[in-house]
Amino acid sequence: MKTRSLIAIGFALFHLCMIGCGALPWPLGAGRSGTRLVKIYGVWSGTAGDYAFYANIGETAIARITSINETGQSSSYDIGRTTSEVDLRLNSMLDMISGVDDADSRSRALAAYELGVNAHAQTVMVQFYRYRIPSMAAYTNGARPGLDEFYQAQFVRESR
Amino acid sequence: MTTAASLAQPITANRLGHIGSVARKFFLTPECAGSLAYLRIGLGVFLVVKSVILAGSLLQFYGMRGITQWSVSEAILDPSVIRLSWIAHWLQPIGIDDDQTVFLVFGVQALAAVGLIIGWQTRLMALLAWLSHFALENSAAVTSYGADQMAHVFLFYCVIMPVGHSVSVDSWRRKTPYPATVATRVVRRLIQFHLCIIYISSGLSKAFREQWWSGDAVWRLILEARFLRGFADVSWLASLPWLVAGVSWMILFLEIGYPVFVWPHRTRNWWLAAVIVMHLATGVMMGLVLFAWVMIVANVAAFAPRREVEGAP
Repeated sequence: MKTRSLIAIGFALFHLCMIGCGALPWPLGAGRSGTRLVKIYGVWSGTAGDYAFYANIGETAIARITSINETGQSSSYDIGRTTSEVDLRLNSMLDMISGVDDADSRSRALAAYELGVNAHAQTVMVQFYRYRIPSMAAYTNGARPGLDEFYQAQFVRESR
Repeated sequence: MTTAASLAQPITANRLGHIGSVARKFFLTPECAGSLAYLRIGLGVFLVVKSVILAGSLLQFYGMRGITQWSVSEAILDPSVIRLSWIAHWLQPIGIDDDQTVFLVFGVQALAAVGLIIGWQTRLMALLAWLSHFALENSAAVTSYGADQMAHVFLFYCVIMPVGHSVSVDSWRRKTPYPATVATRVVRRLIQFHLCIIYISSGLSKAFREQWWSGDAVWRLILEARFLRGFADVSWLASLPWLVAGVSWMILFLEIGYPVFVWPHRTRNWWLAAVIVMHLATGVMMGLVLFAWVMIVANVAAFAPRREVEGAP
């Protein structure tokens, strides 16, 4: 067998082990086992990730951004509410919110962006909602889905 | 006198020899890289489509002061991984600012995607596509999702595999066809095993959740698709919970059964078709079109019919 083939076999076995560790997910490089180099290989090669796609279908989140300008006029828009690729990605960001610290961090980022692109905005309000879904039985008995606000923050532009 | 032990020895040796020859044939039969072109072209198309879709929101997603500022996204990254702030820092001395860095890396990704599709300088293009995609997605980590994760996984294979050996400018310029190699066979088997691990892992992680057994998971997906994404109103399914639960079980069966049923010739094409339909359905219903595309491309590249040098299972 050629050396190249042997290298390919060795690499494949190592890579396969890494995929298995990632899928489990084995805490490589977390101080308990594995080494830093192995962890780096896992992250760069994509083998460190697990594949629990949509294992838990929770309540998805959306955000409402409201801008108020110098004259007190307000305008608002929602993010994470359409099938567009852009909204899907924003949805992904909002779905990861767990706890007040996360919500604080995301709302600051969204408000900073809005204040940056909207020069007239003096105040920006960020509201996060979760989409409440009743069970099939509850739905049959009349319960309907809806949006529940779970976080709200207001940001004011500082005068220079 | 013949003893049981002396009889068992040659039988065991024969059986081991047979297993060894089957394994050798399965893993080490030299193979042409034909079907790998699907992976290269499919991922190139993925990057081009994604680039076109996100081109209008480039700084919104990837800019230092975008919706997810670098400081927010990069805070959750492994310290070793490449990110836009590093590249901006490297380019700063030659007068390229943060926003220009985003445009530059995005341009490299788009160029590399076209290079992958046509198969020109394939290895270099795969390397550039993999690195630029990784840097961009790391700096917008909080908005990336499964499609990006899987694209990163399979772009890495494009870097290490001979994906430019067929249906490419590289192979056309070479005149003589690339030879079949054991290495190609080994790495394609690797992708196949990787897909098996992906599906069984995904299936088992769902199977541990009660909502996938009761059908509640599928019900939630349907209502989310209706309310958030304007999907057709199929809420009447609430009166047919057995049907929703049946769809849910079918997804579990498809994913968990993948490593078993995708190998035998008799079930392979059926299983692949069912998995592709599953991805298309979730793609349309949940808007996960790019994710569906990446998974379909990987399945086709890994298990599509191919030309063998010798017969293979």
